Amino acid sequence: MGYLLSGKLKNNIKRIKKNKNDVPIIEFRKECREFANKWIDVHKGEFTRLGVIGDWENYYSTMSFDAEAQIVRELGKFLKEGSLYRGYKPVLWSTVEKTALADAEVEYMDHVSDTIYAAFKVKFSNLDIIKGADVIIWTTTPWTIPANKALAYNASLKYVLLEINDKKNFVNRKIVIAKDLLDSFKKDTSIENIRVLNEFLGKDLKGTICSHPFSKMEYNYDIPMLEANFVTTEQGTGIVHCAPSHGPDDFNLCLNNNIKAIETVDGDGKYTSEIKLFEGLHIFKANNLIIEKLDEHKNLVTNGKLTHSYPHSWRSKAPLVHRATPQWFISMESHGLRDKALKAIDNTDFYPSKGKERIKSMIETRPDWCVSRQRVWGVPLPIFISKKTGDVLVDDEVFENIAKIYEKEGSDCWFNDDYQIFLGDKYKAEDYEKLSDIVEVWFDSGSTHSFVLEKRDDLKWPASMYLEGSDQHRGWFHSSLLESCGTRGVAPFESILSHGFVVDGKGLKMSKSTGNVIAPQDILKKYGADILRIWVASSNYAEDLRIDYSILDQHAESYRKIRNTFRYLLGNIQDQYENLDFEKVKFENFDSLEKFMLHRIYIINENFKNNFKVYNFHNLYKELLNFCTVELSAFYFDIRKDTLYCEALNSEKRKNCITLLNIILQCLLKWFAPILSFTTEEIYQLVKKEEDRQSIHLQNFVSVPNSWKNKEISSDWEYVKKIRDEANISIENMRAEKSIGSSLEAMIEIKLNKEFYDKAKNINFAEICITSSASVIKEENLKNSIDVVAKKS
Amino acid sequence: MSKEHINLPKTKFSMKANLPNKEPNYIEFWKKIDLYNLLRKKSKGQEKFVLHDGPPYANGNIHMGTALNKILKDIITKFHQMDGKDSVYVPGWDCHGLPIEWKIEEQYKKNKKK
Repeated sequence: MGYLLSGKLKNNIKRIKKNKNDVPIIEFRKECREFANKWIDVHKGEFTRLGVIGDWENYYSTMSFDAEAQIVRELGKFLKEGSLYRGYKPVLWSTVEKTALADAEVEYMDHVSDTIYAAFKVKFSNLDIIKGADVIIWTTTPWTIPANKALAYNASLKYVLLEINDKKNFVNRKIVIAKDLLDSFKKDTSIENIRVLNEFLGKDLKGTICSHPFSKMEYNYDIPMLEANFVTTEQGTGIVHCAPSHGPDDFNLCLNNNIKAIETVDGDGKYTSEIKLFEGLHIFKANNLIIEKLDEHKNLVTNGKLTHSYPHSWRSKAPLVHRATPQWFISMESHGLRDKALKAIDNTDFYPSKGKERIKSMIETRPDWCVSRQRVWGVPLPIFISKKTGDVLVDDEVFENIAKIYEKEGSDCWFNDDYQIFLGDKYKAEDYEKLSDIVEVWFDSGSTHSFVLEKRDDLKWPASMYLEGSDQHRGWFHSSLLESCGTRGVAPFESILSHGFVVDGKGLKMSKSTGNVIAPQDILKKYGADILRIWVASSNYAEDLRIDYSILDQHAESYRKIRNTFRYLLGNIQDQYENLDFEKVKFENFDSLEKFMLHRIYIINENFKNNFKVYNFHNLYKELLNFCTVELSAFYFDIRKDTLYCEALNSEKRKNCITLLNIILQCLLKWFAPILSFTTEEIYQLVKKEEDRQSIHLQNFVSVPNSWKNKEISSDWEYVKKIRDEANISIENMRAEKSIGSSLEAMIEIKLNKEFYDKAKNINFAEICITSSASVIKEENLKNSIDVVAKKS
Repeated sequence: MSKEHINLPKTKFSMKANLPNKEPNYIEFWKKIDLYNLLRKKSKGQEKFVLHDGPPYANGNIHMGTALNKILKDIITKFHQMDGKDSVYVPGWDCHGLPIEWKIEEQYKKNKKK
């Protein structure tokens, strides 16, 4: 909080020093901007420390003046098209933050709700038998009862008319519930005295009118029963109480039946004057009173508690409610946005492929996009409303005028009292009301493609790839898709790569309370960025990614092996690296072993390219690591140690081996450079020549000549390796018995069947197995294909 | 065989990595040679690969999730670059919105109490 101590801010606070609603908006926004700038600087340092190369000087931000200007232009496009409209809708609302929340800002957590079974008396019905009976509803939000405007039933469900006696409120009263829910009703209410009088279909309820349970408390309006498919027998009574201001289903059903949502609850969560007798009461404190009143009027069957998954604010963790508010929406249907987005998904490549279905099902079912927020730190919705007609001012010149002003000074000026400047000469400020809502941040980030990709010459539109955590299917991928499809008809990306979440070694979510949090800063201090980069490359990002210190220790150990592989190469070429042109390497005179290694390099490089093509880094890394430890250290290096150490410097065999080491070094440096960005640079700086490029990262991958592919030699060597493995077992046994120290003290006798003998007869096994001598004998009737006897020489 | 005939390996590349101390030198080095712009110059005119950065929220130190995200982006950017493309990465930040508004409000409130 060092920044709080700056003199300038202290003065500001002295001057303002009241509650936040009294802080001038422009001052407040300045603090927000400074705060964000501070963190951008911190992040820049942290990200570069990871080895990330990018345009850190010319980064982009959603609060830059250019960005704010372009966001206005983007909103103008939706306004002009007519798909951005003003609606009065229940939105998920936080009474703590006093704002509507986006889907991505909602967390589902367990919550204990009050439940009630309440009665609505039938006032009129075409179904004679239910006249005078009570229709029973069940709800987890008793506080919405005063806002009730209708009841919903399902036409195809079976309902029953019951006579019940609970010796309390319901003494010999007739009630209506769905037949399938009779058992759970009995269980919840503990009423034993129940008699089924009649059974009928939901459609018979058509035209039924009930009275409100508070009809004797001035709630003396009709409550119609409406048909709705969303009514099921999953829970409750098969009759749903509808408060159009407090639920999307309720809202739509009522709207279709000409019952409008009204403002029943204010931003703080208190009933408005629309709610008789309860005005000013906070809805979270209202349940007890509502239950009491229902009981008093003998319309409460029973009440209880239910723990269930319920939406909460991700920030304050406060439970959310649906509240009807005037909001601005981008329609999914009016201009075919949903269809455009679904088509765009089909034209996008997804890594892993499961991402496609994930975002598709979200787009298929999502409601209109609510883009307004009643906050101050954001881009203001560029909307003027005519005082005369109530119409929204739609004029490209005005939108462009606003954008031009923002480009110069940012969007703070929207909040000035004088707003004639935005309207130019064409319109008079006094004729218009200026909206004070801001656009939600997902619209900001959903527009980055317009003010970054489209505006910069060094980039291209659409992007080759968007890459984020899998939660962004409902966040940034989603909002970018909708923004771009709405304004440009297609997606702003060609492909999407999504990764899982980081969890601890046991697969548990990291949290401070569990104490299993590992910070990247700790890893950098203990291991370094290259180890962290290995962890990223070697983890399967399609799933959640596990990390703990034992996993990191394993990666550090693998790193040590890779480093030693490099060290062997460098040591034997004595740091005299030759950046060979592979096409020009003459390998005709190479030993079969070197030819085999060239073949292996060709194969590894093919696999490398194939793995990279589908971003399968964990396989790619595994193969490279395996190449270093198994094929190089334990095989090729081991065999050639003797040649390298002991043969004359000008021996052809040794020279060929050195050539191969140079080739391997070049391959490994380039293969590993994107992952081990630091270590490969360390090596490159050590060996590069004056005329070479300045950094390993300025190099291209190797291109391996097709002529290195050699199926025949490769097939022979598969046999030789098997024989070598057998010989090693025999030698190891002798060492275990302590009859020899090193393998050089052993002599081996190898018996092979015809198949193996034909493939391996020309191989010098003393060299391959590092023994003092080796003999190879063909034996037709061998039980196994290979039989090796090792003796002390 | 006499000892003078043995070609013992010799290298300045140390066995011990000491990455936490050494790595910052290479960050300085890349800055000094202006690696980012050298890359652009070198691959000018090549097919572009643009990994568009999803902007992290400009608030709070990075955590493992952010580190994973940025490293994966960097690995992919570098792969395409070394594959011969002009692979451009422009980082960005998401700056508006509630979390920052909240921080500033909290600070005002704290100050009020004092």
